[in-house]
Amino acid sequence: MNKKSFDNLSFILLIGLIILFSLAIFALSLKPISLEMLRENVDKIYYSFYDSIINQLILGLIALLLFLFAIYLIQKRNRFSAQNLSITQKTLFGEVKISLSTIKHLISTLLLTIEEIKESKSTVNVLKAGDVNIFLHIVLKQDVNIPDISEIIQSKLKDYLFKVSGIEVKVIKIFIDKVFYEN
Amino acid sequence: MPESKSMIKEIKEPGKITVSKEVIATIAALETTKNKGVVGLASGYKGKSLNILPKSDFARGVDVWMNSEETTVTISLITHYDSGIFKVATEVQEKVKDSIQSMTGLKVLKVNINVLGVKFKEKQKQLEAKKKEPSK
Repeated sequence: MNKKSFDNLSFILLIGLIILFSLAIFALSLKPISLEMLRENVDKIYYSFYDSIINQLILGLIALLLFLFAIYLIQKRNRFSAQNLSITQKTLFGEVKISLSTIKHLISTLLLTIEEIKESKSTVNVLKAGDVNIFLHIVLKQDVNIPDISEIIQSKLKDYLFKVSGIEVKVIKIFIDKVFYEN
Repeated sequence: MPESKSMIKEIKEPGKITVSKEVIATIAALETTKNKGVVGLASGYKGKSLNILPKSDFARGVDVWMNSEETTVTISLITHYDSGIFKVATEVQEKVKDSIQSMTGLKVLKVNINVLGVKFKEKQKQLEAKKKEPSK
């Protein structure tokens, strides 16, 4: 079974579980049986179930499988959110998608060439309309004119990203978090 | 004899040629790797790092949709840092389209490119490491 088939099966299983659970809750909301009958049936099920250790093992195994399935879904979601977001541009021949991690890499590489910057961290947001906004958190070295350097960073970054990736950045917001003083 | 006549008729008529998805993927992958700005094809992430495909398996970096007359391919790749991502992507799109159309006769509707990452030169990595060092 390949990865895609497994993903599809996982999705169907998850939907199935949610539907079953919702039907069970709906059935309970209609109060289908009286409390006495419920107690009687629960007692019957309880005693017949715990008569055999195999039943308990099967239940334990089902619980373990569901737990592992939940972990798998969480991991898949984290991988997706971290890595599958991209900026899409249409061309004559189709689409060009550039992952956000690539853009962040390019940004950090450009910022390395600016000597006045000690450290930097970037966030890239893609809005619904396709606009790209960049937020930079920067630690500057001492004795640097902040307005001047901010303008230089914004101008260089905008030109650079357009030249290398074809992406037009709408907004570059700069947050100067700290000024680094050497002893 | 009726049987031999029908056999002769079958041999004279041209047979049907079917191109498999794997062939399209291989053509696309080969053409992509010819571009100097392309480091290689990728199939997504293995943990936190990109899974760069070896040459024996690089067709896995290409997703193919096709019917009897048309096809669309999606190529996942990694480019060199100094190559110009968009320029490389559009060059690959054009070359792959021409290649598939000329080799298979299929009409290429779209060639989509996913740039999953960028490979940096050693000098850039050293610069990054130097900046991260605590100053004395």
